[in-house]
Amino acid sequence: MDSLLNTAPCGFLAFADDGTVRAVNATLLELLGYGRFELEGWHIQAILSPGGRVFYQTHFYPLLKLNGRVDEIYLSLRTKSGEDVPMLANGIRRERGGETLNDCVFMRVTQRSRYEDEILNAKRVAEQANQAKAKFLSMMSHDLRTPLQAISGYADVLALGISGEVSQMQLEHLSRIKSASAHLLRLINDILDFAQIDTGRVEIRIQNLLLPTVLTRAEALVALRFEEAGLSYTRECDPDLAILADSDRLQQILLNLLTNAIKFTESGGVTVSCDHDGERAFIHVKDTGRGIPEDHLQRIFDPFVQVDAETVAPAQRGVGLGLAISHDLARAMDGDLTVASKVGEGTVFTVALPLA
Amino acid sequence: MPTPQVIARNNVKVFGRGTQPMLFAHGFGCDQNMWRYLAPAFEDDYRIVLFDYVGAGKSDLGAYDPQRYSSLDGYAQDVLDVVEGLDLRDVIFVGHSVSSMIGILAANRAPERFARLIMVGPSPRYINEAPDYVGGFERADIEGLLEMMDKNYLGWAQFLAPVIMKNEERPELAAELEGSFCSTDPTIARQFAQVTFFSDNRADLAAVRVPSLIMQCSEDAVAPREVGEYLRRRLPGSTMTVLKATGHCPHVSHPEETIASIREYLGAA
Repeated sequence: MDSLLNTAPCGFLAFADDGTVRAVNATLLELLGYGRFELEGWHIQAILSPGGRVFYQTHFYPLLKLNGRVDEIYLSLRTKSGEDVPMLANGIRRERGGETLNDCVFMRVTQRSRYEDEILNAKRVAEQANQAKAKFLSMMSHDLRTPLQAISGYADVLALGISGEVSQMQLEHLSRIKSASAHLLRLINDILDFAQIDTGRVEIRIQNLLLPTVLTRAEALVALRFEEAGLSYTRECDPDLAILADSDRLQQILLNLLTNAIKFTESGGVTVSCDHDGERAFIHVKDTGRGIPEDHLQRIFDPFVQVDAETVAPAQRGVGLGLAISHDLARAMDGDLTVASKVGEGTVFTVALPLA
Repeated sequence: MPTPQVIARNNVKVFGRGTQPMLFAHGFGCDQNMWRYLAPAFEDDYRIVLFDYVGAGKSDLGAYDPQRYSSLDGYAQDVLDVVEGLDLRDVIFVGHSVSSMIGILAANRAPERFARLIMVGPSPRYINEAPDYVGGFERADIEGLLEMMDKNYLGWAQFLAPVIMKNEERPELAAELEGSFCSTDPTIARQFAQVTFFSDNRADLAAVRVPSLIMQCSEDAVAPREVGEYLRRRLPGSTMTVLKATGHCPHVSHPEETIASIREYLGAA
């Protein structure tokens, strides 16, 4: 071995395919606490930590042999006195002296390894916290829903007069209880939906659907709200346009987009139009609202984000999950939800879904 | 499971001019690429079937279910899905490392499908159980391995994983993928390591009815000689051969000797 390689500031080791060490440089010998020529003829496993031996057998060597080289592999070596040293290794296979040798260089990465430990630990903590959060949201929503259904159910019972005569004023109060609990239920359902999507537990049943049929169903549910808000509604859609989607989930997305459009449009109206590019169908929900500023557009599908929350009446305000849910649902159906907007002119949300 | 789904999910490859199926199951850490020096030697006489476990190689990562793959039974189900999906009978199962035990679990569930189990570097239990059982490892050793995997995947397969998952959407990345061997999703690889090295299949050995070959390497740090001996004593109908090859991957490091040894066993059968 030439003296440059022997004393280079990194370890060098060459081994044969049966694992026999053919050459080691002085730097590596010194680092591992061995004397000159001590390791030659040994099996490479002698200088690997126990975990390192498994990793060498299951990853390092097979990759080196199959790929001809390995780069940036973290491998921990064991010194003569039994300490483990974290190393970064590169290896390459070369023909030399009538046999194939695996030439490897090793760099000690003690400091870096400590940082990586911290990063990994932080990653693990974050993942656990995220799981705990999703679980908490899901549990909480379930626990809140049950009493809420009782409140709303008993308000119905009272209003029916089964348990005694009800005055006109009492009926009005009961109706307020009903609508407040319906609102609360919507918020809770949003949180539950979001938690389920977030943990990947949402069920999607893809069917062949006629888009206008789904639109008609959604329109029936919001027609009254359009009337109350004094807004126009137009649909321009090919009656034969068929898509692949989950009908309930698509309805959920459309209702979310339509109610949002109503909420944020003072005058004018909403137009729903459809087209396709041969692979995907697009449903555009266009409003004549005040539009969304550029810096808000980028975060609009993030959970718990609300644009202009202060301009919406408290009873209509959500928790900022509607668009995040719609976006995730569209993606879960192999589609997408995108937005384009101009302040002062209006906003277009586009749902893309595979054509049937 | 219908045949086309299994083929796609487990990236099944079938070739060879023989009729009797020879099913090769890769071990932990890689994919069907591991068989590339071995499988071609048998294609004149057998029908070669290669596959990747869900989570490995070019399998459908979307089919990975942490619950199903939380024990080796889930992996055995992959083997059975392939066997039943392709309606394979009289199967010669060749499993490397952890796949030896996966093969045993599959053969115990559907013994009528299997003719032979060939196990390369098998171990029913990697961790020592004082006072009687020598598996070769202490718990701390396996923790060391998991740490090494975390560190490597942090900077290595971490970058490969999203590429694999998204290759359908981004065909331009497919070519890049062709060059990446043994790429595994880091989270899945970690769970596979845990399942592999912490499982204990000693109790499954007595029920095996399919004749088997234990291929024991000289000086194998992952499955030491004591483990091979233990298997030979406990596994009904087993034959053991000790290879001159050292290490844990004789089919990669010493393919000729491995091929000769399998031929000899099958010829004698």
